[in-house]
Order: sequence, then C-alpha cells, then structure tokens
Amino acid sequence: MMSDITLGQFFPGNSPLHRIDPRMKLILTILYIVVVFMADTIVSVLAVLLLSVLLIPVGNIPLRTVLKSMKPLLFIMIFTGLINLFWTKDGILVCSFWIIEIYSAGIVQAIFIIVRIAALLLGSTMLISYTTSPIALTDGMEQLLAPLSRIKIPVHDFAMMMTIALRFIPTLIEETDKIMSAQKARGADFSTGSIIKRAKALIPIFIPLFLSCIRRADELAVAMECRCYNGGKGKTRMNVLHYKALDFAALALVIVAGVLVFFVNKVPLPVFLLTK
Amino acid sequence: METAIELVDVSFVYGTGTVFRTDALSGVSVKIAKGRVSGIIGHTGSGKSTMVQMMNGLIKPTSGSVRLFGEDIFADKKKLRDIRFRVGLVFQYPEYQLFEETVYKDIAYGPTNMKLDEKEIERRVKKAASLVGLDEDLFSKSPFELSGGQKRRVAIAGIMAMEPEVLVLDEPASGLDPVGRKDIFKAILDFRDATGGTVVIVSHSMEDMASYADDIIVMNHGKCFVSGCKEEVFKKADELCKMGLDVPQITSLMTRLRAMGMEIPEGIYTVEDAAKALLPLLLQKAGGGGV
Amino acid sequence: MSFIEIKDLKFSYLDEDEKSATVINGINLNIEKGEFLAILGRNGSGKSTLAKLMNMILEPESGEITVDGIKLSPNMSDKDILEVRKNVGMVFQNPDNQLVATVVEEDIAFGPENLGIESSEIRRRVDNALETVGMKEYAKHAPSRLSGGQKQRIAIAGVLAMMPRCIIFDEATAMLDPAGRDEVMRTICKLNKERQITIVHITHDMSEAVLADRVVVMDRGEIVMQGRPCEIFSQVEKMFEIGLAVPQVTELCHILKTHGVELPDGIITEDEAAVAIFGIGKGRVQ
Repeated sequence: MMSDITLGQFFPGNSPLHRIDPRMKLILTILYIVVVFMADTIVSVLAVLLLSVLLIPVGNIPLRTVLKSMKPLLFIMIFTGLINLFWTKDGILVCSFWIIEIYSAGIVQAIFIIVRIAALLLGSTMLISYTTSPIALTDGMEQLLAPLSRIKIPVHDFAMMMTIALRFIPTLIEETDKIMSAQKARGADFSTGSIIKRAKALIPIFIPLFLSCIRRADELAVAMECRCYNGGKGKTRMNVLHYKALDFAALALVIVAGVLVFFVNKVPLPVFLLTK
Repeated sequence: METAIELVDVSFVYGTGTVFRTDALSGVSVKIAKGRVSGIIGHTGSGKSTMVQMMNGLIKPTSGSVRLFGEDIFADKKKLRDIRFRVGLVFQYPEYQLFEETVYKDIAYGPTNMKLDEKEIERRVKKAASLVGLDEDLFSKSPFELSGGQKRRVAIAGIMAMEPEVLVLDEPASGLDPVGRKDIFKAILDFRDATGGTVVIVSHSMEDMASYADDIIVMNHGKCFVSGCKEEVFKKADELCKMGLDVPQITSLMTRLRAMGMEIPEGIYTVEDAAKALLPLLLQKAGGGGV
Repeated sequence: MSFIEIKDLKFSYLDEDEKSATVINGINLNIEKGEFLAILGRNGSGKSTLAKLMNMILEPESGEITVDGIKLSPNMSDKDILEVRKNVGMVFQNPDNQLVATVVEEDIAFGPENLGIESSEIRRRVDNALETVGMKEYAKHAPSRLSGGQKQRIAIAGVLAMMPRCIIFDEATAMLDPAGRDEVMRTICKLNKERQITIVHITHDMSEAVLADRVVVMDRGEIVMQGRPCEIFSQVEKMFEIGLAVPQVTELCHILKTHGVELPDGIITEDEAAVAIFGIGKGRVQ
C-alpha cells in the first residue's frame, strides 16, 4: 500500500535528542555547521565526526537505518574526494602514472573533505531529520522566525502552508492510487510505449488529481474560515514551547565542542598530515 | 446456472512484515451467477472493495484464484488488460475520475483504449449514454459543467461503453438524493436487460439491495458470512442485525409483527410486498372485527 | 427573539454566461435556541447555500439574517464576523477536507487558537471536546488514519472547542457508511439534548430527519413544507413529488390507508407502526 510510506526520515522515539525543543534544534544545527567548518585540520574534523557518530546511540536510531540513508550521498562524497585527490599538487609526490600525479597533501585533503561532508550530514540529520517530526519542525521554525513577521515576512502563512501540505500528503497519495486504478480499469496503460506515449497516458491522472486539489483547497478554505481563521492575527497556541534544562545543556555541549575544535586546530601536526 | 466470476479460496494480506499487516480477505470462496444482479454488503473494512478490485485483476490475491467463466484471470499477465475490458469496474465517486474536454470524449476513453474503430466507438458511446439517461445534447459539453448526478452518470456510461460482460460497481449511488439513487439503479438494471450482462453492486444499503439485487453476498471481517439468493440471506435478518448491518426497516417491522403473533410470511423486504401481505389480514380484520 | 432570524432572503450565483442563477428565492425562517432543525431537500435545492449564508461565508443579495441579535451585512466589523462564526459552527460533507492539522488534538485546537484563547483554556476545551465525541484515546493520532465517522467526530470536536451555540451540519453524514452515520447522529443528538446546542442538520436522508424537532423541506430555493417530522412525512405523495423519500414504515402505512385500513396519521417510526398495525389485528382477535 502506497499510503504506508513514512514521511521523510523521522524515527519516532523519546531519546534526549527527540526531547530537545525544535527551536533549539534549529539553533544547534546552525551552530553545529559552524563548528564543522571551523575544524580545519584532519584531526579536528575527525573529532567532530566522532562526536556526531556518538549522536546515533544517543538518539536511539538503528545504525542500519542511518547507513542506508547515507548511501545515496556516497557518490557525492567520493566524487568530491577524487577531485581533491587529483587536483591538489602539494607535499610529496606519492605516485604518478599517465597524466595523473598524486601528492601526499591530495590524499589528506581528500580524506579531510570526505570526513567533513560525512560529519556535516550525519550531525544535522541526527539533530533534525531523524529525531524531529515534520510538524514539530514547522512549529519550531514558525516560533523561531516569529520576530521576522514584524518586518512583513509572512512567517505564519508559510508555516500554515507547510502544515497543510503535511496533512494532505497521505490523502493525496491515496487519491493518486485510486485515480490510477480507476483509469487502469478503463484500459489506461502506463507502462508500455514510447516516452511521449507514456507521458500522454498520465493526463488522465493529472487532470483529475489537479481538479481534486483545487476542490479540496476550496473546501478547506471555507472550513478554516468557519473556524475563525483570519490569517494568524491574534492567534494563540495550545502547545507553547518552553526551553528546558536539557535544551541549555545541549547548547552548552555544542559550544564546548566549538571551543575544543578551536584548540585542536592549534595542535601541531607532522608535515605529511598537512593539507597545504 | 452459469457462473460468471468465481473466487476460489481467495486471501489477501497487505503490509506483510510491518505493524500494519492486515488480512483484507481470508479464504473467500464465492460465485457470481451470470445474468444476475449480485449485491455485496458489509462494513467498511470488511474486504468488499478489495474483492471487487480482484474481479478485474487490479489486485492480485495473495493466495487463491479468481476465475472469469472458468479461466484464471491471473494465468497470463498479457491478458490482464483484456480482462479489464471484460469486467468493467466503476469505483466509488467515479465522477472524480473524469478528465476529458467533452462528455463524448470521456465516455469514449475506454472504447478508444480498446482500439475499436470510430464508428463502433460512436455506437457504443450513444448506447451507453442512452442507458444512463444522458441526452446527446450534452455530448459536446465539458463534463465539469454538469450537475453531480449527471457527472456520475457520465462516469458510469464510460464503463458501460466498454460493453463488459460483467459490470462491477462500488457504491454507485452514494451521496445522491433519493431520485438520483433511483436513476442510477434504473440505469444499471437497464444495462443488464439490454446486454444480458452480469452485474455486481457493492453497497452499504440493505434497502437498496433488497429492491435491486437478486443475490446477496454478506462480507464480515474479510470473510464471506453468507451468500445466496436474497430470500435466503434475509432469513438471517437477526444475525445480520447483530453484525450491525441495517436490515431494511420493513423487514424488521415484519419480523416484529410476526413475533407479536401475526401470521405474516417470511422473506418480505420491500414496501410493496409488505402491503400485499398485510392488506388481506388487516382488511379482513377491520371488516370482520366491527360486527 | 429567535436565535437565527431569516427574512426574505435571496441569493444568486453568476454562471459562466454571466447569467444569474437564483439559488435562494425569498426564504423566511426562524431557528429557535436549543432547537434541532432538519433541512431536507434534493441535491441543488439550495440547502448548502442557505447554510453558508448563516455564518457569513456567503453574503446575502437581499433580505436579512440576524444571528443572536447581530445583523449580518457585508460591512460588519471583523469582530462581529468572528463572533458569528464562533457561535455558529459548521461541519461539512467531506471529512478529509476540513481537518487542518496532522495531529488530532492540534486540529481541535485550531478554532480556539484563532480566537486568541489562552493556552491552558485551549487545553481544557480540547480535552473536553474529545471527551464529548468519545475520541479521547485518539488525541495524538494522525487524522488520515481514522475512519470516516471518526474524522467527522474530530471535525465536530473542532467546532465544539469554539464553544458554539449552534452547529450546522452540511450533509455531514452523506459520505459515511451506516456505522459512521450512526456515530455522527448519536453525537448530534447528544449535543442537542445534553448541551442544548442548536442543531441545523442538512440532509437528504429521511431516517435522520425523523430525529429532529422540526423539518423544513426546500425545493428550488424555496421552503415548500415545514412542521414536525410526523406532519411532514405523512404527506407521502407531496414528498415523492418533490423527489424525496419517506421512511419505509410511513410509506407502508400510507399504502395500507389508501386501501381502506384505518390507521392513524403521522406514523414515522418502526415502533409506532408495529403498535398501530398490531392494534388493528388485536381488535379482531378479541
């Protein structure tokens, strides 16, 4: 059944990572990215990666799930690594064949880049994708960015749109499923023929789906008006977010990590471990 | 009686290996008789919809087989598309699947997919439209300009135009007012009479089935609870009531009067039959009792 | 004074050819506080339009609507519009197209949040509303996984949380199966009897209209009949003429009467029919 697919990569749970306030998670993610970019030696970037690996058991996410979702990004990591490997011409010439010359700094640089990307992805997905439900994330963003509405940025409207999109995705998937079956029952054929023929075969799906979206939007708008919606003016919330001790502890940890990286960066390294 | 469609020990499980594992159907064996109107009744989630989507090969059973005039429809994958033309399936709220610019083109979509020639398509579209009571003046209109009831009829005509041997309809009358309902059921019976085809109707409404179906299959929790001609099925009115299905009000009134001691024959499920059974009793009573 | 007062109401739409099609053609109707009113009519008779006029989703073309003393008009203040919409809640036909949030309790909180109610009070109202519709254990569920009847009860809870004095059900049972219909009808009756909430129930199902205190029958934008359910349904021929049905027992009694059986008027339930028919039989047995 198509409707069984899960949205994004959210993995429900009650770990400390899950319990951090979504607003704080957004802040932490930004800080974490800063820390990753601060780390500019191979040792410090490895330390950051180790830190983010530690988040996996903390968030109680199965290692297999994490590895599986990193797979599609492996290509980008290897590709960036290779470019660095071949284009860095510094340090000792390790080997050369045909027109390719590999230098020691190239090897280090390639590893450095791969580790940095891995740390970047792992840390931010552990903080956001795996442990924050889409709805909590929308909430967090809305409340974090609320001050921007004073300079006429429609933060609330965007959040409302996100919420409605999330609410209707399962409904629309189910509907697509149904329309496809119904057209198949009328002899529609989606799987044979040229590309143009196949694209044409989709018209009987898209038009009804499109019309249904419009109809739903129309009905939903009326229903929202009936429930006194007027664009978020004077709106209160049932669940007000409060920062807890856990949130500040997490913030402190990231700051400490930043400070550590700063000092590890200063540790003198043997020449062959330098990138330049 | 010849069997049009037969389900042999059919089961269907979805979500295997997940927490959502559900047995939509378990070990269902039923026969749909040729040339008759069979009603399938049951609660939401009783497996009715899965069952009808199996009849035209949209859903493949996990185990068991589906036979159309004796041949297994899943035996040859290449023939599945032909099966869909032979067993026409009308989904619930079929008007939401209309997409063409004109009513004519929409009704012609199925026949066109069958690769029939223009003339034959035209003949079929006209015939289907007349069966559902659509005026030919509407052919050049956009289906989206029509009223709800008309849209529904266009959608049903789209399936009828494929001239299927078996016409299967999932809740064809839902959401329509009493006159709209009557029109739809009349069109379905007209189709049967005109083509000699077999009809399967999925419905929640016992009252509708009592008036329009010949045979009834009652589904409960993915199993066939009872099946047979409606006279026999309605004899089990008490059990159907216990399952939470609505027995026609008239049937339950008759059962009650019988329990109170009145001599009323069994198997009454339409108002006309009830009146016929009661009139002699009551008139005789009123007349005889006065003296 | 009645809760809702409608005087000479007219409304028309502009169709594609810029011609105006009259949908509501001069309606006069008063709805009393605490009443359970059913509006019956065929598809396209103007029932739903009438409902949308009662809480300013549509603006009347001419005529007057007053809701709890507030006169509806295009230039009324936002505050008054919100007050009217808060007092007159609506539940619509398609359960999927009226739920906003991805979590049940968040959806129910939507109305009171819009009204600017304080968060602890919203919490209290949400819990209360869930309790009333009997969906407490589903508070944290995703609406998309619920059945039609359950979704409709969530929609009702969402309206209840605004503390309305009246709820309009715009064919709210039309898309449900018998079990779902039953759930919703039981909830409606409960709200009317226990909470004295005024109910306007729009339907073309007569078995639901039987439960109402008063039935209004609409045809082509006009009110053609009104009265207690038994008064309405005993006019079997007129109902058929309009294109509506009557309960099976009412139809049966009508046929029996035309054939000379002396039955009382206004039989609309199975109980009444059983007693009346058996009564004649018993007379003879004695």
